[in-house]
Amino acid sequence: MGVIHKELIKTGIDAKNFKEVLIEMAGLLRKYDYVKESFTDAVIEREKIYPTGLNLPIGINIAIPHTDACHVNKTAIAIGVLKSPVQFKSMATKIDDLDVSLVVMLAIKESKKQVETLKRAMEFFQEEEAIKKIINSKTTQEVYDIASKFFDVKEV
Amino acid sequence: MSTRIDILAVCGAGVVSSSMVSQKLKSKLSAKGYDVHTVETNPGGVGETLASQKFDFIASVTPLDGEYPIPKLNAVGFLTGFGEDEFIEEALKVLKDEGK
Repeated sequence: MGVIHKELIKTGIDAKNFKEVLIEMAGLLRKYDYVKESFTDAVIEREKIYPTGLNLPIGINIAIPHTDACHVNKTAIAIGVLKSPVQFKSMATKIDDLDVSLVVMLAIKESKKQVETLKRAMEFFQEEEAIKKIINSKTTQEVYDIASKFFDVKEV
Repeated sequence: MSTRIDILAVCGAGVVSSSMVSQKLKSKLSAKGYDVHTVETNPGGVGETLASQKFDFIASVTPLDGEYPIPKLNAVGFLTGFGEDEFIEEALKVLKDEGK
């Protein structure tokens, strides 16, 4: 079973701030029981203290919100394409604001066993063409087709 | 036999991003001939982990305010793919200064 699921992808997310984005995306993970009820609050708190905005060299900003494994039932990745960019703080500086248009929420149950998925995620962030296509995707199917190619690898 | 090096990888949750960084460091520095060992922690765990084991340097994706006896390097480039080579160069310099 892969980590990318169509029901965990949402395009056109209309949010005013990062908190609204996280609530919406964590809601997807919760709806299908990938995470525990505590996940939403935990991921919001984590984002406030340790922000996850990343300034990709391809000139696009993304965020990779995540939190402790104890709030996760089953490893999965939720992908959210925002209708218009929302500000996240930079992971590297914690101070800078980044206009983020793609959010990849990681629900990781056991990071030691999921290094392949994490490695794929890093490779994915560097795929300019794929990221740009996803940002311009209108349907979950489009996003799914692109993302599943990268992420769905066999875990050890 | 390759020289053993120990790296402390740090991120907010002490799990996800630091594991990503560990993976990258293992593959990049193994290719340079080192036997790479990593431990992942969060900023709150840095002091304790440093006290319990010897490390060559810290690779952190989050700003660390504390003063530590070993070099700390900014590893956020491993998540974005920007500045990986510069990081490795800096790491190699640190290791060389330590005689490794």
